[in-house]
Amino acid sequence: MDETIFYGRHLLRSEYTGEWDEEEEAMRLIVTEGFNKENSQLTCNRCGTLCTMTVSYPCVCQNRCKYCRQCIKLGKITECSHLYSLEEPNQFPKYAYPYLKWTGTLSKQQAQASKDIRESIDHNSDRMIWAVAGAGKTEMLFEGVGQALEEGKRVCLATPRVDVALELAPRLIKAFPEVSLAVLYGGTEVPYQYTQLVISTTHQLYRFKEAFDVLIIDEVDAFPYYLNDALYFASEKARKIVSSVIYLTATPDKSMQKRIKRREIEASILPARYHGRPLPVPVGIWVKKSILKTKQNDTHIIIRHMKRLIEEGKQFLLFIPTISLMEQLMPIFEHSFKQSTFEWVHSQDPHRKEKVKKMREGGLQFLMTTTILERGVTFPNIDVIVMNADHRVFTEAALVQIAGRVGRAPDYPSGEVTYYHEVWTRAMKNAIKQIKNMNAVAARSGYLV
Amino acid sequence: MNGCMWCGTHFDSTYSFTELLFRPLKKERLCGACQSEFILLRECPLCRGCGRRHEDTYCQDCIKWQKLYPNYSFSNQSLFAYNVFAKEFMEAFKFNGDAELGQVFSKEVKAMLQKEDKHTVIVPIPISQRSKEIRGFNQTEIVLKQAGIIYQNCLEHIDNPENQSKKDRRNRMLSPQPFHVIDSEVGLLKQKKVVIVDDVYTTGRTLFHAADAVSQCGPTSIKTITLFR
Ligand SMILES: [Zn+2]
Ligand SMILES: [Zn+2]
Ligand SMILES: [Zn+2]
Ligand SMILES: [Zn+2]
Repeated sequence: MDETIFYGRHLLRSEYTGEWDEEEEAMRLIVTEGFNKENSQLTCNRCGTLCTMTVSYPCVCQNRCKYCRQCIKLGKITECSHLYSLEEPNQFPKYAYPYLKWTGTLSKQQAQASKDIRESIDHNSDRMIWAVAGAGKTEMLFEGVGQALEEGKRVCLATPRVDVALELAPRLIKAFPEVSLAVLYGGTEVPYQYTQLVISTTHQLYRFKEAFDVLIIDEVDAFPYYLNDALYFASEKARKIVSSVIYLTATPDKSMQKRIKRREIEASILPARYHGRPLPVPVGIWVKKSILKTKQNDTHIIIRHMKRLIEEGKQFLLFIPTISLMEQLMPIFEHSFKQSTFEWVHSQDPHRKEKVKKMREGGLQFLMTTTILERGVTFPNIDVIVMNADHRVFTEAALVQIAGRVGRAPDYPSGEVTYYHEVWTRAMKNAIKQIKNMNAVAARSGYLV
Repeated sequence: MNGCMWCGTHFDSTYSFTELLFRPLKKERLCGACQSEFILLRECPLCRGCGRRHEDTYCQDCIKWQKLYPNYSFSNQSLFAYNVFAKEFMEAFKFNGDAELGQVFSKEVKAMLQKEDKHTVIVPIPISQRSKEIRGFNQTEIVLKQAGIIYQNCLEHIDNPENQSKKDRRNRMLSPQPFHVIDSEVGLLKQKKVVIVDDVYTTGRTLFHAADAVSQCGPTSIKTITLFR
């Protein structure tokens, strides 16, 4: 039995692909029940979800069992399941110092944040990093991570999306070429190996137990509120009792902003972009009637705006709240923009990647999208138009992220963001306030050039 | 959890105010978007034999079946099209073992089987011993039970080491009879209308084998029903 597979992990027997040795199991593995049973309430020990199932189902144990639906994609936890683990021994090889081979330079604010992160890791305390889109958050983690690795600590960087995990991997391998690294996500073909550095989707954190001395959680604001409990449970379980968690966010929610202000959590704020130019401030424009209700489509304010950008040769993203609205707009756009090249993407689109690539290479004049492109994806020189910015999918965080797509490249540090709306929403107001506030802080701190 | 059983979207956030006012009192299992991914076959033109979407009376496959079983006037009815979404859904239901998902079909299954008179015997297709060991449950039985349908386990699966879903189409057509009627249940089927129920109609091989086994007991008629075609 390969013991290392169980170091700091929390696995079902079916997740271990090697030969299962009953005797060895009895001798060494720490075994816990799949469910915690208290006052006739069942709580999943892997994901912390309370089981609300009212009936039991026939089970592999020949009896009837309830099971956990929340984490079933990782393998089914039933009342008769057991979870296996071994204490994290931090058994890692030593390399020549320094582990970090990255030689780039940090901006002034990155250098400050990097120092903060090093201190938090050193003191095994938690920290929130509030960094605007384009601040360069990966680089400012390097020193702290390097120092932790040199001390033999196990480090995990967790991100909600697979794309981001796959994009981070080569950057970390380049920065720490000698250190063993695993990239974990659902559907990976590579079998799990015990490594000192782990890049993982947040979902995969459920498979760990008291494993990490340092846990960095990216985009903590990316989850719908009802998933926050599960994420919190997963991260608290995956970290060691004595450890440091670094939370990264570009748009903390209201309650987190308050906690940062009251200094309830240590926080580092990075209000400026790496290139030192202020964030483009969105402009709200009132629309009398939606395009769908206008007879002369070409005279509609949004269509005129789009035509102007096409004439100027400026690429743009058009954000649309729902797939169904997108479908209704398609025939109108196909008519109004006959001469132009454009595409549309949404969460169910299998050709998403190719279309984004085509846009990035300049092969499209514009790209229509739902909120799926609100974060992560960058284009060098674009404007952004948000249609129906007053729709409920456009939360404060979404609107800030969307604005963050503009002016990312040092060669094209500016651009226009327009929120078209029929009513002013609190989300729009707060998003603009948040962006202006970040620019003011950046200017005061001398981070702008 | 007050959300869609499939995608997890909270209903509160997908309903507008008016939708909330007129929301049916019974708790929804799927959100509107996921619900619309299931295509109801009864709203399409269908093959009279296997019940797939087809413009003509009988499809090519069914013409072959008629030659192979000339004495069996078969007619299969399926609820939904077996599209990409349905495949993914059934994968989660069967292979991940998310038995609760079967509730999604309750309403339609109930509506379809309640039309039968009360002497009709409803027989689910049994699963192999191997599948039972891995999965722990027969998905067809689960769906019937969730829909509140009374059924009889008359058929038994004679074990065949290979798993049906791993075989290619040709191999499956040639596979030997895997079912037989349990001795004590033979009398139950005699002179009765029988409805055989399965989850997915793929080639029809499974259902023809089952119907063949049942027909040995002298039923007055045999119909087959599946969730997907
Ligand atoms: Zn669970
Ligand atoms: Zn069980
Ligand atoms: Zn749904
Ligand atoms: Zn047919």
